[in-house]
Amino acid sequence: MIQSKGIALLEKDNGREVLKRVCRKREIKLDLVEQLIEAELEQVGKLRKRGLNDRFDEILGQFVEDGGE
Amino acid sequence: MYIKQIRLRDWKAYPEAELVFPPPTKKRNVVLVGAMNGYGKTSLLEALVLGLFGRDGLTLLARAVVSDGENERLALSYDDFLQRALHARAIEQGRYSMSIEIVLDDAGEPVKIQRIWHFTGSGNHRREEEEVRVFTGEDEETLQIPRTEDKEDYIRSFVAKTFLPVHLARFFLFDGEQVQSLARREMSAQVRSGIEGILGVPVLRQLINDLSSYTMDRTKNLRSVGDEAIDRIRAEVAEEEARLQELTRELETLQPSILPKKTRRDLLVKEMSSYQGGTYANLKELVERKGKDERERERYRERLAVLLREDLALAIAGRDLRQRVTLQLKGEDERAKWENGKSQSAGGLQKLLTAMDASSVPVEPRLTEVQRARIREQVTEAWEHIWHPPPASCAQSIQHDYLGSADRVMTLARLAKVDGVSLGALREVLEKLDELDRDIRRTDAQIAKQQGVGPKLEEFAADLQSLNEQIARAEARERELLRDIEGRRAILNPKKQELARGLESYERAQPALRRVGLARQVAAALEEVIGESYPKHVNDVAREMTTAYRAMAHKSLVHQIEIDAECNVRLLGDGGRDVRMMDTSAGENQIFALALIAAISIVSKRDFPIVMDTPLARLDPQHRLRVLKFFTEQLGLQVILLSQPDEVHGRYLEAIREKVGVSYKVSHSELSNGVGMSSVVPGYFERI
Repeated sequence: MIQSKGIALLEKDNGREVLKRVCRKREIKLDLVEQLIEAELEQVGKLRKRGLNDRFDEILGQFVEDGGE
Repeated sequence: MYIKQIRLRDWKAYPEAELVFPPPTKKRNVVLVGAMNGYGKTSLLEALVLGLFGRDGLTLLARAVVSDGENERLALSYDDFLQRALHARAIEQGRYSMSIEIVLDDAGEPVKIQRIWHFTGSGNHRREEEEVRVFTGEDEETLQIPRTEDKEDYIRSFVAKTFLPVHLARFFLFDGEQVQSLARREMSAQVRSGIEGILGVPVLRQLINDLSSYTMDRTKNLRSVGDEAIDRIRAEVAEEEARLQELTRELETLQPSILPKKTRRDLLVKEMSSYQGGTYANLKELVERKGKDERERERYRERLAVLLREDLALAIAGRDLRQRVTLQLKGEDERAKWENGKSQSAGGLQKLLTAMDASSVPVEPRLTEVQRARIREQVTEAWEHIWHPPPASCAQSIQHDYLGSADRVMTLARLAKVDGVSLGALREVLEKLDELDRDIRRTDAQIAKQQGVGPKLEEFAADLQSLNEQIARAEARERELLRDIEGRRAILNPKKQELARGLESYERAQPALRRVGLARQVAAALEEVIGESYPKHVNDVAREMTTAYRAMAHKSLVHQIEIDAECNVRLLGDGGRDVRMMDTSAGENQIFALALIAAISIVSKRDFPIVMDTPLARLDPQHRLRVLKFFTEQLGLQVILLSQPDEVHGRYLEAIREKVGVSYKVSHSELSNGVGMSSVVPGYFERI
């Protein structure tokens, strides 16, 4: 579950249901999307996002190796 | 969360000032600061905005932004604003810096933000020496910033996460008079930004952008794959992006230069009319009307250019030729599909024949080689027969073999669009241009008549003419840049898509790049989620807005507020009529804007204080009471009101007296040459 107070759209039941459905349809794991959102939230407001691409590598890599697509 | 303390040094009219606010309670949550006009009320609001958000806050300040009714743009650069903000006596008294300190209390944990700006002896802002620090806790420990992080960025992110992201700030810190800009019918962009802000859509959009940058970055060094075409597209994308950035920079420099010229023109017009005894309002109106007509004429010229450039050649070719080409292309599309199916089936025939040869089904008596060959021929002929003759809708041959399937679809769509362009549209544009030319000439004659004659007036008229020309040139360049930027974006996006398609084929070939493919899929999924769920949440804002509006407005004209998917807001009265289409007063517009602010701050569930500068200025007595009660009782644990003496006074003060936790009054003394000095003391215009 997304913890941050930043994404009200996905905290609300309706938005979350849409996210789940879209992930199912596109065969993407919900956990992957949530981890990527958390990574983005850590960088909120920054113009230069150091290390973000490495973090994406880390998260995406985990799901590619898991056959998570 | 509440604002605990504000400390200013050499900020605007305040050589020094300190305001301390007590923790708000349900019963006492209001801070009241009183000041006459020009004493420094708005400077306090500006200090809060720039203190919290630094450079990013500039666009929120009414005195730094100008609106032409459609768009907002910066009237002052950050440096200009700061140079004007430095106290007028600071430099001559040997002080070359100014500072703002704000302490906020976040659930018992104080957080202090300190910003210091430094200046040269001639008052120029030393950009590279700007300081910003954050201290946390009672012991004021300096916020530790990881070495790998950019300090300014880290603090920007800290402020957004701990207090408020800058895109929501205008709904918590605002000027009551300026807030009307939100009420304009064409301000749907701001409404959208507010609603998207509270829903967190900007973060999702940013993630989509960052994933896109990630895919670009992770594929840029893939020369080993050896696809030169992709390298070429990547270079083109980079080139377009650089050009786009260049144009955007030019626009950002140009826009702030337009306002001072317009201000000078207004002064000149005023001076002229007073000189020749005419009415300033009339002359100003004429000059403005002419400007408006000129802008409209420019828009029609652009429309004409588009018609001539894009549609005319195809239109001249005639409907008959266009229809024949359309028919041929449709036929070619059918033929291509047919040929494609036929060629794919050839493999199937070979498989069938091989399977027949290898078949173990016994045939008695055994077939001779001649008989087997004959059967093969018959099967082959029958197979071929399935595909002949081609369907009647197929073209005889493919003449336009340079077109792929997607190109054919695009070409057909283009031809269909031209059918919709009639000569009437062209005539309409030309007639409108004629009409505007006539109007401009007529207005010119009226201006000349108002200006009269005489050497002094001729001098004024020449200055006015020159200023008008400069403004027209700057605005024309502005339009040109906006057009160019839009055009470049239109070129860039397909190129990016082309690049993405090219990269997709890499990914399939290279397992290591599956991460990039996955990133792209997530980005597409997020786009879909935003598009689908966002409109549903807009209704929440509309519902809160209806409640707030009905609580604050004394007329019961509005039954319901509706916000559509484009964020256009309608105030529905009897029979579903939009009340805003009627001639609403400035006060009613202010109520509308305040209702929007209230709805957004309620739905956002942020406990950030509400700070209102001049909250009641344009409101009539009944609205004043309702707004005061609504904002002090329904919103924000802490509400800070920056009021003029004739706003929160008498019965209005009475209505909130019990809720005032602390009050201050700004006193002011004129020094010389228009330089003043303000200070803050406890108290108010009336006894609290």
